[in-house]
Amino acid sequence: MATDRTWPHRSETSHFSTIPFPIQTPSPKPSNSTRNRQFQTPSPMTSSSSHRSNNRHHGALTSSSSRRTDASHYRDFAALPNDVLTKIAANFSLPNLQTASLVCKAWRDGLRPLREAMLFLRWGKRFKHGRGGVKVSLDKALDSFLKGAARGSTLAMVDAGLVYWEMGKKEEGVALYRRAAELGDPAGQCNLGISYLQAEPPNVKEAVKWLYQASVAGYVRGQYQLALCLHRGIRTDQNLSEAAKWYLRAAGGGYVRAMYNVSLCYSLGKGFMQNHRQSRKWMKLAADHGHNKAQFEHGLTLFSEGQMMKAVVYLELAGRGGETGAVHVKNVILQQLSPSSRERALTLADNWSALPSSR
Amino acid sequence: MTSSKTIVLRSSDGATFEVDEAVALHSLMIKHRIETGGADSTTIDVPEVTGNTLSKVIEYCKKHVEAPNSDDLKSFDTDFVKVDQAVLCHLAKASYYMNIKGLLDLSSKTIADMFKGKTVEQIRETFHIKNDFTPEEEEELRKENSWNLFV
Repeated sequence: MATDRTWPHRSETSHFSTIPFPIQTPSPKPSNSTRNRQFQTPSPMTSSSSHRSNNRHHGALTSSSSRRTDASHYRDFAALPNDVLTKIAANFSLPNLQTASLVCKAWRDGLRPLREAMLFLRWGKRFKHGRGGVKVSLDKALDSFLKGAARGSTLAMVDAGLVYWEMGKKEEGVALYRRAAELGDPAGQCNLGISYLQAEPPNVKEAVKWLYQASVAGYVRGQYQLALCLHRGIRTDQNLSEAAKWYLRAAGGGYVRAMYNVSLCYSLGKGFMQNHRQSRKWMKLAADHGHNKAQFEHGLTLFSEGQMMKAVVYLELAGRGGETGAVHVKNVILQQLSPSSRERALTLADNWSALPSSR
Repeated sequence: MTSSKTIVLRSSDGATFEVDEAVALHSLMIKHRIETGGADSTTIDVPEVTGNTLSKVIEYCKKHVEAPNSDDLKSFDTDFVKVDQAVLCHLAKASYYMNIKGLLDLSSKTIADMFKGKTVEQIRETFHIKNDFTPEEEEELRKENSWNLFV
């Protein structure tokens, strides 16, 4: 899958592996693809809206309360204490913060620390990734993020936590995730939940509690992780239908691994009623988003339906992504195609690009 | 079982409310007042909060103290903040002054959610806030903001 600049490289160590889904169609020995199955370490939150799925947050309509013309009424919200204002806007992205700052002078002034925090956040990211002409420096990045965190920005808290984690200072990292989580930041909640899962011993109860909060807030990665917990049912009650529901939410939010898992849920009748049409739909979606196993599966499906050309394209993509089993099947089909068809199929594969995803 | 002690809370407009001490202690501000107040701390003034708001705050504290593990706590909270935005504003301020974390978190989050997807004008309308910027001041802030576009 394409790596976005805002997703820095991180070592993917894991104490967990997901339960491998049995694949019904004939397949080679189960691949140990670490990318598809592995439990992810916390990933940074981007400052853009990609993690803020829109399906949950709708602006509240103004209640039809009678408009008081009393001057003091106008002062009510304008006169919120700065601490409360900072708390409200703690996990606002930069655009939202700027909008809020433009509402009135009191808010402009009260939100100044958070605006400053955004500057530190930006510097922190530059130091972390070596952007904008600066050399990579984790120490300077951490310093900047901590300054942002001190001014109340949960975005900075999460990023500071990530740097601590990368430095091996997990306790400090978790403390920052917790601060962000308690201020209602979904990324902080998700990362905190994942930290609990990676603890020795894992604390699944706490993990699920925080992952659930992130999920309900629409945080796609949290939804996927929550589904994994409920699916595994280790140290917690297995709940397949809840798991399937959250896989579906995450899949709808663009999480590619969730799309693949949704397909399998439908195919195996786990959590959902068995539905091969839905299964096929989600497998194709996962494949189109670059999921190699899904490309393999979908290629096989197309082969079984007699759509040789399309099958070859997907199998080729799967093979390029490391699915060696796909290569064998692809070669079998290629023998049945004319030279011009073979060439066309490979050209299609060369020109293919994955659909954008949230992860 | 000894009779539970009650505390009287007095709002800014003189309204008084008798509550169980356990309920009152949900407010860390009141807890502090009681602990440092001495013998005559049975009536506590809360001048930052009006009677209407104090009544609602007490309702919140009662529920959270008396039935913290009830299944309907979540739906109670959800319904609790389905109020006029003015009431919401007062709840946020009151919970801040009275140091009631749960209520502050709840009202802050509710207010934050009301920002989503709105323009500056829409936010002003929602919260009944007057635009007190001069055109120059507003322009200055917009300029400052444009420097901050993230890389």
